[in-house]
Amino acid sequence: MTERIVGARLHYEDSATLERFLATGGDDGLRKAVLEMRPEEVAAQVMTANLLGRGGAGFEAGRKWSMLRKAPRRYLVINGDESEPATFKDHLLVERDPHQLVEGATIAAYAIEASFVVIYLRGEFALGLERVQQAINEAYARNALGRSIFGSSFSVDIVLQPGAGAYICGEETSLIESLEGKRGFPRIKPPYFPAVIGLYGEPTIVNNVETVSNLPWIINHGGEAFKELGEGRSTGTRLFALSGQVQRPGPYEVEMTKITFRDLIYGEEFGQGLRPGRSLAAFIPGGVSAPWFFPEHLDIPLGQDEVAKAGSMLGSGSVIVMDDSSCPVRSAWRIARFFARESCGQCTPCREGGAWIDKIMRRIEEGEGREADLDLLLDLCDNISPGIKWPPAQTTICVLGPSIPPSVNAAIQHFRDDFLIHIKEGRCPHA
Amino acid sequence: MSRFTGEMLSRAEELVSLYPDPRSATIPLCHLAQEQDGYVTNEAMAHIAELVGSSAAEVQGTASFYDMLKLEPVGRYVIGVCTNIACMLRGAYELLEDAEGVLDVPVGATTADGLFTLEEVECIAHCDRAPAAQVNYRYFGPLDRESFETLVTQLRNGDLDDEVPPHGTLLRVRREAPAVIPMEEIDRYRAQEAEREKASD
Amino acid sequence: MPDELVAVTVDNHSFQVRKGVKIIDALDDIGVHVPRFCYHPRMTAVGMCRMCLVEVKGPRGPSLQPSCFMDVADGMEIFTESDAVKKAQHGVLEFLLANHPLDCPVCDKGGECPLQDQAFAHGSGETRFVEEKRHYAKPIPISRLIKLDRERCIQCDRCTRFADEIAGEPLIDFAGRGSTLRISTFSNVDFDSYFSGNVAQICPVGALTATPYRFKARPWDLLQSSSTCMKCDMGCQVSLQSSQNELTRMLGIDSDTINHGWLCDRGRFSTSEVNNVDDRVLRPRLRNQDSVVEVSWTKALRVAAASIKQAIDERGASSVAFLSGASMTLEDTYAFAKLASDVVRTNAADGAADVRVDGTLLLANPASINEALTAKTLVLFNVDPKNELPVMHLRLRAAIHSGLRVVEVNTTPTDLTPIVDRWVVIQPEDLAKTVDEAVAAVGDDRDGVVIMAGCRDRAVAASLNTALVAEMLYRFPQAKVLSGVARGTNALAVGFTPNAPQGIRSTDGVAPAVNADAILAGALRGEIAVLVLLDTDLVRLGLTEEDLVAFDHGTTVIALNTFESLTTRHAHVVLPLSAYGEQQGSTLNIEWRHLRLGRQVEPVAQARPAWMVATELASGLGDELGFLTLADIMRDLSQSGGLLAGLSYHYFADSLDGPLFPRTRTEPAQVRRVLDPMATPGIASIDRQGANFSAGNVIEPAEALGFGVNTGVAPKALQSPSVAKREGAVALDPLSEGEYWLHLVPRLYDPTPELMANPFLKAAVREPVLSLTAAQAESLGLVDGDRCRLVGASAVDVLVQLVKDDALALTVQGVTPATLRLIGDQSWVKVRVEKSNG
Ligand SMILES: Cc1cc2nc3c(=O)[nH]c(=O)nc-3n(C[C@H](O)[C@H](O)[C@H](O)COP(=O)(O)O)c2cc1C
Ligand code: SF4
Ligand code: FES
Repeated sequence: MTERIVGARLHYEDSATLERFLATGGDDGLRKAVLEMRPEEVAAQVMTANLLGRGGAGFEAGRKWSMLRKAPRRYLVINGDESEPATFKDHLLVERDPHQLVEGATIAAYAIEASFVVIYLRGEFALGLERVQQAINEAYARNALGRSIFGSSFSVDIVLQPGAGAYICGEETSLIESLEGKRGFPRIKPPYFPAVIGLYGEPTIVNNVETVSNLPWIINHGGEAFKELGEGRSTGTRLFALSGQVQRPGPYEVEMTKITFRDLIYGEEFGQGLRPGRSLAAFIPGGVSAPWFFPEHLDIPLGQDEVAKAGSMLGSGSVIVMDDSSCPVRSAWRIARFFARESCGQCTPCREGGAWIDKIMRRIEEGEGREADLDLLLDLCDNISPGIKWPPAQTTICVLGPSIPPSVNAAIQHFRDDFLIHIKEGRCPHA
Repeated sequence: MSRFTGEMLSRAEELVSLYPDPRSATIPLCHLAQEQDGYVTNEAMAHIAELVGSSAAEVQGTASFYDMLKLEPVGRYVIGVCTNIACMLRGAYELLEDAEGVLDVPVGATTADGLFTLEEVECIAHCDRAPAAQVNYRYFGPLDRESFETLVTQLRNGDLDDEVPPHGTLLRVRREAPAVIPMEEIDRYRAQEAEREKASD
Repeated sequence: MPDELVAVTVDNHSFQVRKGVKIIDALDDIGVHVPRFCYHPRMTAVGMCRMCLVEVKGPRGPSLQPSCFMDVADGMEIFTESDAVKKAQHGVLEFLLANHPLDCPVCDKGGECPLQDQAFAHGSGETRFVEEKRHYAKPIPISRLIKLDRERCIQCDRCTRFADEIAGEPLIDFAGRGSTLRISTFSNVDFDSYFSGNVAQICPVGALTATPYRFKARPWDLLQSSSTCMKCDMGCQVSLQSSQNELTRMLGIDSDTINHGWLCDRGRFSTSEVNNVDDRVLRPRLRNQDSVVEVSWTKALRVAAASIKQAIDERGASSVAFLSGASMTLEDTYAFAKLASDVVRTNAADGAADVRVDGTLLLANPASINEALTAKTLVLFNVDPKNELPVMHLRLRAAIHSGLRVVEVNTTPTDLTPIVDRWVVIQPEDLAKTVDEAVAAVGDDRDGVVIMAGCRDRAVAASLNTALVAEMLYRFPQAKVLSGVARGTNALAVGFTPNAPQGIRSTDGVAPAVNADAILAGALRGEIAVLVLLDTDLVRLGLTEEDLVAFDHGTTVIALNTFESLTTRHAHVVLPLSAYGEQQGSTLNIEWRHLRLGRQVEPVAQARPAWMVATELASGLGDELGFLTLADIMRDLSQSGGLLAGLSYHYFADSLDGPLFPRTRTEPAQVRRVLDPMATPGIASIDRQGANFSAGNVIEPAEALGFGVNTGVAPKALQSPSVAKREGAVALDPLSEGEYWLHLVPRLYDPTPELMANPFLKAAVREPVLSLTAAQAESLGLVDGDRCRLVGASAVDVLVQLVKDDALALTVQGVTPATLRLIGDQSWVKVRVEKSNG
C-alpha cells in the first residue's frame, strides 16, 4: 500500500468539512510554520523535499521560490485552472479537501512572504468554488488567515478568483493576465518566469493546487520524509488521473516511480484492465499535450525522468487509455480540435495552424481525406514545432502551439493504415 | 435592469475592493452580471468598465475570450456535454446525439421554452465519470440516454433547484472575511521586519 | 552621446550594433531586412505574428526567437538565412495566407501591402489550403472614417496597440479567441477618436481602410512629395499624395523630432476639403449692395488696390487693416507683412489673431519639442494639446509614460490631466496664487524647466495670459519656452502681428501695433476703411452676420479666401486663394523649425497663392515688394535679419526635417530616423514600385546663402509681477451672486469654413456644450442633457453635459467668441446661467 499525502483524507465521506479537517491534523502544518519556523526554514524544507510542481512542467517548487526577485511586494497565485483534457486531480482536491488547499496556500505564502494570495480556480468548478470559499471563510474565522495568523506576526489575505472557461488560462502568464482582468494571452518570454515579473509587474509565484496541497504534510513530517518517498528527482506521491477505456477510471495517489503504467492500468487496486476482449492500442502518459505511448511502454515507472527519457512527459499526471476499439484518427482529431478551440489566437502558427489541422483531420475522419494530407499535416506540425520532437521546439509564444503536433504525429506514425483506410475507402475500420 | 443596482451594486463594489488593482475584478464582475441577467449584457459591460476603470471595448474583449461568459441570452439551464477525449472514448458523441434528441434542439441552440441551451464542451475534469455533462457548471455523469432524460425531467420539474441554480449563479457562498489588508499596511510591516532583521544581523 | 555598441555575428559575419536595441532594429541598421508584421518601431513589441523569427544561438544550440522582441546582447550569434529560419518564415507566411481572401485586385492595400509583397517574394504560389476560409460580414464601418474588413485582418495587434498605448483610447480591441480572434469596437459604439486614421496607415494589410481614400487610387498611380501638415503649427511631416491632379491622401512620415509618424484625423483627412470644389472660392468677384459679379483677376485687383489707395489718401494708412487667423505659408505671410508695413505702411496688421501671448516670451529662449519632452519638468500653461496640437498630445503621452514630469496649469482639465504629475487651476480671483501654486508644483529643482505656453482658454484676456506667462518666466528665469500656440507661428516669425517681438525683422516700414481684437473693435466702430482678410472667417474671430452686413456702410472688406464662408458671402472683393497642396512653400512649426510644403496639384479654377496676390496689390499701389519667385522671398526674408537669418531651401535637400531657428540653436545629434517600411507603408512600397519619393513637387533646393546666422532675438524686458499687479492686469473683481467664470475652450472639430467644407469631417462637429460637475448642475437645477442659456454681454444656448472632473468653473466648448461678444481685450468673462424654456 502506498503512502497517502494529498489524498490522505479523501476516504472520509465528509473530507471537505472543517470538523474532519481539524480532526485529522488540519492546521498543524500552518501552526508549525508560522509559529515555530522562519519563512526561509519553510522554504528550505520544501527545497529538501524536492517537491516537483504538479501543474505540468514539473519544476522544483523550492527552486522556483528561490528565484523570486527581491521586491517589496510579491504575490502568490494558486493555479487551479485544471483544464488539460483528462486531468481531474485538482478537481478532486478542491472539492474534497479545500481546507488542505487553503492551508497549503497559506504556508506557501508565508514561505515566500507574499503580500497577497489568489486562488484561481477553473470557473466550471462551481461546487469546488463554493467549498474553497467556505474554507477561506472558516480560515478567517479561526484566524488561520488575515491579520496576525494564529497570533504570529504574519498577515495575509487569500482571494478566490473564478476563471471563466479558457484552457489557456492554465498557462501561468496567461492566468496572470486573466487575473488582471484581461484576455488570457500568455506573455511573451523573456522574462521566463513570473517570479521575475508577474502579477501587476511584481514578482509572483504560480503553483499548482496539488503542489501546495503537499505542503502541510511536508511541514509536519519534514522535507526528508517526503524525499524518502519515490526515487531520484521524483519524490513523494502523485495523484494520477486514469481515464479512457479502462474498467475503473479514477484518481489514484501513488508513490512516484514505484509502480509502472502497466500496474496503473491493469492493477487490481487501480484501473483493473481493459474491457473484456479488448487490447491496448495506445495510452497518453501525461495529458493530451504529451506524445503517445504504446504497449511497449507499459513497463516504464511513473516517474518524471523515466517518462521523459522514453520521449514523453508525465505532465499533469493524467493517463488516457485507448483500446483497439477506438479510432486513432478520431482520437487525434479530437485532441487537435481541442487545441484549435483553445488557442488564444496570438501566434499565427497556433491560431491558423491549429484550425487548419483540425479541418484536415476532420475531413480525413469523415472520409474526405487525400493521401497528400498526411504529409501536409506533418509539415504543418513541423511549422508549429520544428522537428516535431519532445521536448518541443517552437515557433510560438507558449507551448500550447507545440502541444498540437504530438498526437497528430503519433497517430500518423503508428496508425498510418487506419488513416489510409479512412482516405481510400472512406470508412472507419473501428466503426 | 442590467447595470448593477442595490444589492448587486454593493456586491460589485465589494469585489472591486478585493484587489490591489480594480481591473482584476473584471471577470468576477462578468460572472456577477450573468447571475443578475443570465448573460453579460452590453449595459453590464459598460458598467463594469466604469467600475474597474477600463473601456467598454476592453471589457467586451475580455468577456468574449471566455466560454462561460455569454454575450447573448441563453436558457435557464446551459447543458454542456463534454466530448473531449476521455468522454469521447466512452461514448460522448452518442450522448450528445441523444441530448439533441431529448431536448429537440441542435447543439448551440436553446429550446423554445427558453429552459435549455445545449452545448458541446471541452473536458470538464470529470473524466472518471465519463461521459460527463454539466448543467450550469454542476457536474453529472456517467450519463446515457436514459439518465440524461431523467436529468432533464428533474430539471424541468424543479427537483434539482437546490443543486442547480439558474444560469449565471456560480458562487452561492459569499466571502465572509474582514476587508482585505491594505497593501500599504503589508508594505509597512515588511519594511519594519527588514529593519529588525538588519538590526539583529 | 554616441550609441554604445556591442559585437554580434549575423550569419557568421561580425558587426558592431547599438546596445540595447531589438535584434530587428540592429539588423535594419546593418541592412538585413527581416520580414515582419506586428512590429512597429514606435510601439511596444508583442511578438505575435511570429514572422520575424531568426535563430539565436543559446547554450543548447540555436533556437528560433522573435527578432522584434529580443534585445541584442554582446557576443550574440544570429542566423537569418538558415534553413530553420527560412522554413519557419515560410510556414508563418503560409499560415497567414491560409484564411486571407484573394482579393488583392480590389483591395486598397494592393500594391503597397507587405503581405502581398512577402507572398510574391517567398510564397509558394500554390495554396495547400483547400478548406473553407473564415467568413465575416465586410466591410463594416467602425467609425465615419474607418472601415474594417475582418477577413483580411492578420491579428497583428497594431491598431489595438495604437489605440490603447499611443492614443490612450482603447476603443477597439480584440474580441473572441483563437481562430475567431477579431477586431471589434464595443457593440455599436464608434471608434470615435481624433487619431483613428493612424490605424488605417499602420494596418499592414487592407483590413482597416480610410473611408475617404477607399477605391480612390492605386498606389502605383500615386505621385507624392514630402510636405508638412498645416492644420496646426505642430508641423507634422507627411507624404502628400495625389492622383490625376486630385489629392488622394496624406500619410504620416516618421520624423523623430516631430510626429513619429502619427497624424490627427483633422490633418490627415484635410485633403478632402481641398478637393471639395463646391465649397471653394473659385474666381475673383465683386459685390455691391445688390449684385455679385465674377470678374477677372486684373479687375478685382484694380478695385482692391483702388479702395486701399483711397483709404490711405482719405483716412490715413491706419484705416487699412490686415487681419488673419489662419495658418498661411511662411512666404505668403511674409509677403503680406511686407505689403502692410512697407507699402501700405499701416500699423493695423495682425496675421496671428489666435496668438494671445506676447511672442517675445515665446522666443526669448526657445525649446524644441524634443527638449520639452525630455525636460526635467515641463509646465503646460493654458494649452490643450489634444484639441490644439493633437499630435503633441500623443508625444506628451508617450513622454509622460516614460517618466516626463508634467505640471499642468489650466483653467479646466484636459485629457492629459489624469496622467500629469500635478494640475494647477488658474483661478481668476487670485492669479498670483495660481502662479505660486504652479511654482510650488515645479518644486525646488528649477533647472531644466520648459514651459509650453499657450492661450487655450479664449475667455482669458490676452493681456492676462501674457502677464501670467511673464510671471512664470520671471520665477523661472532659466526656463526655456515652447510655443503652445496652434496657429500664427509664421506671423510671429516675420513680425506680422503686434504680438511679435520688436525688431524681429529689420525694415524701415511700420511695425504692427494694433492687434486683431482692436482691429475688429475698430471695424465695428467704423474706424477701419478697408479690412484685408487673409484666409480668415470673421465669424470665427468673433463677429456675427449682422456685423458683416453693417460693414456695407463704411468698411470695404477684401477677402482672400480658399473656402466660402459667411465672410466671403458678405465681402466686397473676394479673391480665390490656392489651398494646401496646391502651392509650394515652407512653414515654421511651434519649435521654430523650418519645414517644407509640397505641391501636388494645380490650384483649382483661378485660385492663386497669396504671396502672388500681395505682389500684385503692391504694384497696384504703385510700389513693389521685390520678389517674383519663392526663392526671392526666401532671400529677402533671410536678409531681413532677426529670427530667420540664414533661411534657405537648400538644407531640405539632405534632411527631411529642416533646421531650428534662430540658427544659433543647437540640436542634439540627429537620432536615427525610424523609417520602417511598415511604419509608413505607402512610402517604402511605392518606392519599390518606381516612383521617387523625394521627386514629387518639392521646391528645388536653392544655392546656399553665404552669411552669418547668429542673430538671436532680444527679449523685451519682462514685467515683474509687482508691476503687473500695480497696473491692475492680474487682479480681477470677484464674482457676484449667480455669476460664474466662463471658460471658452477650443475643440479640434470646431466649425470653421474649412471643416464644414470637408465632407468626411463635418459630421464630427458637435453642438456647443456646457460642462458642469454634478454639484454645479444641482445648484443650477440642471441635469445632464438639459439645455441652458449663458447670459453675458450676449446670450447663447448650450447643451448641458455632466463631467466627472472637478472642473472649478463652467466650461464651454463649441461656442465662437462671437456668440458671447468676446471681442476686445476685456478681462475674464463672467456669465449667468439660465434654464432654457422647453
Ligand atoms: C497550455 C498550458 C496549460 C496549463 N494548464 C495548467 C493548469 O490547468 N493547471 C496548472 O496547475 N498548470 C497548468 N500549466 C502549467 C503552468 O504554466 C505552471 O507551470 C504551473 O501552474 C506551475 O505550478 P507548479 O510549479 O506547481 O506545477 C499549463 C501550462 C500550459 C503551457
Ligand atoms: S502558442 Fe497558441 S495559445 Fe500559446 S500564446 Fe501562442 S497562440 Fe496563444
Ligand atoms: S513577431 Fe516579430 S514582427 Fe511580429
